[in-house]
Amino acid sequence: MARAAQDRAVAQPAAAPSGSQAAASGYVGEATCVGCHSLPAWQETTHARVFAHSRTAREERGCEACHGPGERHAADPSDPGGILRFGPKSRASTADQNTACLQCHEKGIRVTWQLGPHASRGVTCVNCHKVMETVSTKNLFAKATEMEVCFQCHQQRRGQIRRSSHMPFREQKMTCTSCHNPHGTANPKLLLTASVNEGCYSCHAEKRGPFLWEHAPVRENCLNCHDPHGSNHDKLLAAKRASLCQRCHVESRHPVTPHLATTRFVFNRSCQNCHSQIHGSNHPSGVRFQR
Amino acid sequence: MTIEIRPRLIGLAVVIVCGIGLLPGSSWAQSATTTWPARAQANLFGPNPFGNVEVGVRSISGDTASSKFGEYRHIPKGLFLGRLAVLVENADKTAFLELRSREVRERDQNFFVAAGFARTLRVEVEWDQIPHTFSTTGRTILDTSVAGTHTVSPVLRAALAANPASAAALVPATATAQELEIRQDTGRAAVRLTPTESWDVRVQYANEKQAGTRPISTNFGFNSIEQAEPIDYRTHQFTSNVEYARGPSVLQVGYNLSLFRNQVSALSWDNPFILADRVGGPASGRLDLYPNNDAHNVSVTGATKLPWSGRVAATVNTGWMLQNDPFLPFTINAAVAPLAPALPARSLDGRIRTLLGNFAANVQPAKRVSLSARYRFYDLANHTPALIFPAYVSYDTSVGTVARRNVPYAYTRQNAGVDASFQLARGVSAKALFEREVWTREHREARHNADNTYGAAIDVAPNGWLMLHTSYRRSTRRAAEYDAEATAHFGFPFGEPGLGQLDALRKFDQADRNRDRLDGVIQIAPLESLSFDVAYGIANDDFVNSSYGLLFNNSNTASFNVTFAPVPQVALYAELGRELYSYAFQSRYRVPAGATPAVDFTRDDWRRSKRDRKVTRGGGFDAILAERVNLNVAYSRARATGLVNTVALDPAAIATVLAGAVRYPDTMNQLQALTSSVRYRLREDLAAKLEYLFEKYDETDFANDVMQPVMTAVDPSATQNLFLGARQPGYRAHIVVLALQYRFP
Repeated sequence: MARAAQDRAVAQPAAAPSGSQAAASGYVGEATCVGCHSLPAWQETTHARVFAHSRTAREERGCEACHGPGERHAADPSDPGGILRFGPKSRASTADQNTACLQCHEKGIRVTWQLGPHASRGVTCVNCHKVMETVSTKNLFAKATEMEVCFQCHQQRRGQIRRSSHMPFREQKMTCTSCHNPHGTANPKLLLTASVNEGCYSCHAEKRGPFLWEHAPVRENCLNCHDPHGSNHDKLLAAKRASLCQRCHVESRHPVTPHLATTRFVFNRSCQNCHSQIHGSNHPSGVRFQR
Repeated sequence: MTIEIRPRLIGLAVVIVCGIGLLPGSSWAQSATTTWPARAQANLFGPNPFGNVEVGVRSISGDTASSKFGEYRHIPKGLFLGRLAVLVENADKTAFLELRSREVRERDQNFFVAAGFARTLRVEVEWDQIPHTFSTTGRTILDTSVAGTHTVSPVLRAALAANPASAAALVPATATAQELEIRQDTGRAAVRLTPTESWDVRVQYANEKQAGTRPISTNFGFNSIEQAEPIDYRTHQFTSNVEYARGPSVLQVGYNLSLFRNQVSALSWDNPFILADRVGGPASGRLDLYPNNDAHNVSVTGATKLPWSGRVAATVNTGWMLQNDPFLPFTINAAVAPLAPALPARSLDGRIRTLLGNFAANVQPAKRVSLSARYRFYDLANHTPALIFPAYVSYDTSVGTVARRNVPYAYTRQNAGVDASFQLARGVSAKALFEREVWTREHREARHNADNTYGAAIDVAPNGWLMLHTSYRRSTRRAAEYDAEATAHFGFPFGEPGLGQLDALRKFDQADRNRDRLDGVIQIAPLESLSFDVAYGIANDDFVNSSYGLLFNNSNTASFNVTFAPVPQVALYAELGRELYSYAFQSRYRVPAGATPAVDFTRDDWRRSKRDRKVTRGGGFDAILAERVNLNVAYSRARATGLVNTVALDPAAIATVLAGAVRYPDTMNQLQALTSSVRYRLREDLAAKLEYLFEKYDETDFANDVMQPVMTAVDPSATQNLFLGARQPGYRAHIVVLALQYRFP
């Protein structure tokens, strides 16, 4: 319990006092840190630039802005709980580690981090980001690319982007944050937009409509028919045509016939060989999505 | 009602704003130079500029004609400038200029420029191109040189009209290659202004152009004429966001505008088999392509802290989607047009309003306990007028007798949930949750759906060598007031002919469903140099009360990764992933009452099951062989197989209408990639790279492999059907790259 109390004591970098009050709180200043820690990789990082142009009293603290007061650590560097450390070996809790980052970053796209699913599952900022050295071209990722960061836990997605039908993830034209904000949003699945469809419309604006003749599952949710993470069916479809359509259409004649694979009801684009305007039609004669 | 805003004016405004911001005497620039404290004058870092560039020469051999090779990329032979990155800063790093480019002079090139003053102003300009090749085997007899008006040569048309059966010989002989590729070019300019720690202003304008052709099917009844759809889209996106943050409190206000403009509003094409319009026989057809539309969105988000280390956030977001393109006439067929009724309106005046309200809060009433609650309301209100069309023209052929009314689908989705997280020990936490989702729909089968979810999660990361995340969720969704004919009741204002939808059908997106989801990932690193990852996922959807429609939809996935660095100079890895997806649905062959006696019997029931299996394997190593030599080898193989089997539930029916209840040929696709490179460091700042890449893609798909412009050899009934023959065959590519990589300074 005593160790836990000590850990909490060092994990309080937020609201750092200044001036003489700072000294009383155990801050030793960046010069003390540099006396032992030579960090050439740090020098070229974004945070090093930020601290070089500090605009707040907190930033003026340099290393201790994030790591908290260093007096105890300076007195006994062997004490692992003497200062706030980050990463899997840290003795500080997830919340305490993240608080150090959020004291500056709890705004912008991170405004609802604390309310999001990643925070509640024990994900720390440093699981995804690396501050002390630059290993990615942007956003301080802990891996070379953003997708590699996400795939650490979401390994099924790694397999999906290798499928024959995929969006240009492998080609580095899209990435996870093209659609999601992992820091938390007001939307399900951490989507950037208020609905799945609104996210799809950001690239596929032509499918936004409204149309004269609408296809109900299309209006409600693109995911009724598509799997955006990758599919082995044409057009990122969730199932092969005509099965995809026949799951819902049990009216009469050709939709309810189990056609042979060698018929025009199945080969090529199957149902869309005729019903090509399946996302909606604005033609007065387009009620069956054929015009 | 569409709000008319000239896109070019928006672009001009953004340019002016950016320009003003960059003027030396502007207030933005001044604020940038006056807010830096004295400490910023210290030059803590290395010399400038710095960056890297890669140039080289590339050789390609093998069979790379398939569209799959260059689906979203361009890999030409010869000299290339693969990557350039330069950062220029002034001595005290208070101002910067960043340049980046990729694939210069290739169809997938990207240029990025950012400039500004540290922490106060950032201006970005980006140009990006994304090609998308659909097929390289397309052939057509249609002349597509005039976008949107596709014609057939009079001589050929006369011959086909005189003898449609001659298509089997004439079409392959006269069809010419048809390009099936679009390219998306996006120009983007953005400004971010952060004059103080509290204020953050972001403005962005993007102009996206999509141009090219892609396959589209058009038809006259059951006769398809597949052709190249002309794509010429412009989308203007303007986004803005202002944020004010003070301590833990944040207020964000945003506005987004999106304008979609289609430069080709309709597609008309000659009927190759009919020369002159008549009732029942159109000489041409006309399709309405995607109409112009506008979208506006305004959002406000506020967040602040609560007692007990809590936080609360609320969002209100409202948007409008508007579309009011003029209607085309019912038909292009001059013989039928006079028989068609008058249009009920000149245009749709389509209007959809969306409204999102979201509230979430979190507190920690005890040191190791965190409680969260949230409520979300999303309403899609469709104010599009419902127009009654007394009749319409079926595929430009003849005027029908059934009146139809467009259906303005709308829905409201509400989500509420609570969860509690407990830190059981250092690095060990558990979470329990309950969520409820309620849908209320207009004009759909299930007027109400309620979905209750219970879940639990355990997260373990006590130290550096073990991490475990696992969760289980159980959901039960139930539908109320399910009416299989709900849409038809509205869409057929004067009654529906025929059988309509099977009453017992339950559509999967609204049907009663029990869902179980288990997933997790375990990472074990017993040594600094050795780590194992295991991930698994089970997702089972059981449509418990569905006799027809989707019955179940299940998936099982597992993956295993290992990385090992036996010595500091060598790192090895291997991966294996297996995924299995399966579903089944049930249907019934039915013939409507009317011209023939109704056929609607359980003896004609049939069931289709599908199983997809994916296996991914890979491995490689990265080694420093000598002080100056780096060797990298990576191999991966992703193989997918698919099985579709259909059975007639009454074997006696197989010989009749259910003759197609058979197992389809299995599908397969496989992508193999081998990457190997040797990098030799010539100097501290200069390296030479020799790279060999091998890619092999194989595909077997009964629906695509057989495609030719004329398909009567496969389907004898497909007379007067023409296709592009757009296939996506496999490819094999050997790519050798010799490049120089320079890092400066």
